[in-house]
Amino acid sequence: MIMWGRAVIRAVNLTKRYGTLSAVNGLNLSVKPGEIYGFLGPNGAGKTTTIKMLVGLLAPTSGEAYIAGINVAQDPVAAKSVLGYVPDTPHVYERLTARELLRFVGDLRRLPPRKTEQRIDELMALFELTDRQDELLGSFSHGMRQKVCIACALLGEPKVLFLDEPTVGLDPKSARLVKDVLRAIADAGGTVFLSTHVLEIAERMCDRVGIIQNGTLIAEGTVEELRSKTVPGKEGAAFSLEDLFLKLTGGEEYRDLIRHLSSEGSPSGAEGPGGRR
Amino acid sequence: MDSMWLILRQDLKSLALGRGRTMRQRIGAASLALLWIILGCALGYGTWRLFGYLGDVFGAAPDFRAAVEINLLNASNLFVLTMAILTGMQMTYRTVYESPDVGFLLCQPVPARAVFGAKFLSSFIALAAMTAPWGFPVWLAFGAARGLGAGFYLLTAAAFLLLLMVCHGVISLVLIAAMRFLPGRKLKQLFIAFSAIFGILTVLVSQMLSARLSQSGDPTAIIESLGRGQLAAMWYLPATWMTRAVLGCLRGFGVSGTGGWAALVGLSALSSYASFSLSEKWYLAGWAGRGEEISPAKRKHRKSARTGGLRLQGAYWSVLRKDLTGFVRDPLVWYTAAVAAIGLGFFAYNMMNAAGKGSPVTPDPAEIAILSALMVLMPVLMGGVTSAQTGGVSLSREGDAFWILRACPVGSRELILAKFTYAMLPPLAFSLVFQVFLEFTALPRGRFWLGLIGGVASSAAVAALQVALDVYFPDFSLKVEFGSSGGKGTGKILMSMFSSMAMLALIAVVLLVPVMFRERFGGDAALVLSAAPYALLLALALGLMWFLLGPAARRLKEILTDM
Ligand SMILES: Nc1ncnc2c1ncn2[C@@H]1O[C@H](COP(=O)(O)OP(=O)(O)O)[C@@H](O)[C@H]1O
Ligand SMILES: [Mg+2]
Repeated sequence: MIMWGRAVIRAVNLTKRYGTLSAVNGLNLSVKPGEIYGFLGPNGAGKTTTIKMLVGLLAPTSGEAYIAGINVAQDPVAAKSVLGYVPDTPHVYERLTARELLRFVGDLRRLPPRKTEQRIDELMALFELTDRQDELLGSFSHGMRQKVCIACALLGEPKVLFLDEPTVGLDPKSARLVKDVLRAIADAGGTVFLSTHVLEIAERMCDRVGIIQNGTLIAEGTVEELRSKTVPGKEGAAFSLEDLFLKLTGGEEYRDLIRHLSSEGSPSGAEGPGGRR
Repeated sequence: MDSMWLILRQDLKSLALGRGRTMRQRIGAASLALLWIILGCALGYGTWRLFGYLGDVFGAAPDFRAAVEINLLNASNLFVLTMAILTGMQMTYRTVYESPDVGFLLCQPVPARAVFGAKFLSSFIALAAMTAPWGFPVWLAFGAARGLGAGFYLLTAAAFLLLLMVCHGVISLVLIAAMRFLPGRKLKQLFIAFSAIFGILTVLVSQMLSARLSQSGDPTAIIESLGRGQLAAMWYLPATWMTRAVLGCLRGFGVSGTGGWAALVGLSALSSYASFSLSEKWYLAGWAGRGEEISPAKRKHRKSARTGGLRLQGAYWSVLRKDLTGFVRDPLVWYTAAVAAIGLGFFAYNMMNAAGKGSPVTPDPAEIAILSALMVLMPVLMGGVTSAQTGGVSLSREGDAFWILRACPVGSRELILAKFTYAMLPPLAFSLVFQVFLEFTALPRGRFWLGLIGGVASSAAVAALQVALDVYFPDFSLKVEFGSSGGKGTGKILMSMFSSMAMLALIAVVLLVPVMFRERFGGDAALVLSAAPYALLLALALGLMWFLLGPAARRLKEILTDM
């Protein structure tokens, strides 16, 4: 059990309902400083909804979120000044250049201009955008925009960083770069909260992993803990986190279906979901 | 062409049912439709009374009556033509090139022509719906006042549709060629904007020239120049073709309609057919290249910007700076501002013309009050039309990138003040320039500083109302580009525009109340007559700003933290 007082991110009974659908259901979690927390779950599990509530973009139906001890709902502006956020889709102002956007974010956060310019130079060099920094963002590709968004979040050197599926749309080299950057941030005492549905990322990067399904946190711990805890049977067989993930989120039954669909010569195979007619 | 009808039916269905819309959006759409109907009815009723009055007064002089009628009907057509160019360019561009489903449709195994055809037709329907209430009721009123039969209405409807088809066909042709052959997004948009401005200028200048004709003293010459002469002078305008075509079928107007019909049918068929058949070759490439940015030559940064010289920081200044940067880089904005400036220029020109003709006798204070009110309101109206598409909807224009502001520590008051300042800039700039300009003319009007106060206060009132409406009814699907995808954004901008017009009507009432009740004040209340309404106007502006910084800012705070 973590001491509440040390937690940088804390969710208490966080709940979001859309009509009858509970997108997030009584979520409790806490993240310590210097930790990379991986939020793992299938599509539609409630990852984005949770992150939006934690960063103060979405009001919870009930429950509370705290960032560095600040109640997000009560003082969103204070909470937002200590956190950085990267959304799942990198929408940017198409009529600004990359450098202008970063400068804009720096001014919004009232960072000292001289330091901002230095920091922009560093970040642009880091993400290999130095050559393109004076072009309009409208001409940037998805991955380049994603990198600009990450740079925006890193600009103010926030205590807490939230990233919603950060590596989606990035080429392997950039994805690797992002992972290294996040690790360095955590090592320097920063806190990183990232969501993903890619198991490999959770396995390789995260100090702790929470698995969410249908809005409920169904397991939490280090990858080792999760392995030892929840997968009995299959003695001796080396199993990956994928097995674990599928088992926990009830994905196992699809295995057979997929196998069934991909087996050739099966006359009823074309009737399943995703089948072609 | 089955696939074309399929796509079109889908478009119309989603338009009519308003699928996927929230209650708030539906209420907005319904009230807009209602407004449209009211507008049409009001215009129809008003002109019906006017035509009836003409009949009563000039019953004995049928030639003169006909001339005045021709003049009115053609003026209404010219107005429709201006509207059609003004809105048609944007609307067709949006529907044909920016509808979100075009990308999906072009990937399907249907000819590009079918996709274009469907979008072409739905933009035509939208254009007809937008422009019809401004002109068609006038013709209906004319028919009713003259007691004409059903055939007249059918002919008028046909000719009216043909007129719109001519505009729409030519616009589409220009668009499809510009999109295909001009490189880079900016150049495309500039070309599109300037061809629209060119079209509007053509209409306005020919109107001005034909107004010159009627300045001779001979009554028969006046009749001639008012009526048939005007049609002859503007023979090259489609609006005139339509007037000729319909009136040619009536007795007593001495107009031949054959040429009108031929021109309308010929050009509408030719332009529609041409754009339709060229679309097979040009549409896909033009659509694919619509967002292409040409890499600018590397800009050298000012040293001060790089090293971070003195910059005003915080949400207010940075949002304002960001918005103004976007303003400067958006050709649409220049287009809107240019059209507004042209309109204002024509207004000033006409006023000076009228004043030049008037008697040299000193006008009475009431007249001066009315005139000064008009001088205050006109530039604010033009600025309001500009801000209705820029600052007045700039919260909506944050669009998908709004998360950047929402994720940063931004206070709602700072943000709303930045948007208010942005919205206020165009009317304020137009007002200041116009008031100073008036100082150099001999137009009779009130005191200079009253005009200034009036301009500032009405600009503030209009901007506050626009921003407040944008906060309460935001539409983040409004795109930063040439308007929005589909027809949704149009409604948003219209709401902003109408609300500023309504606000100006209210201001006009405020400014003219003392004139209406001047007997009560007695003859000697000159100061009350001139200054009191301006104080009232200032109070109105302050009240609206209070509302903006109070309830509207609280609503914005909700949007910032929960959406
Ligand atoms: N604005 C919304 N209105 C209604 N339902 C929503 C909304 N946003 C998300 N949901 C629903 O909430 C659930 C969780 O969504 P989300 O948090 O985006 O999942 P993910 O884990 O893929 O990020 C989904 O079932 C989604 O359909
Ligand atoms: Mg998500």
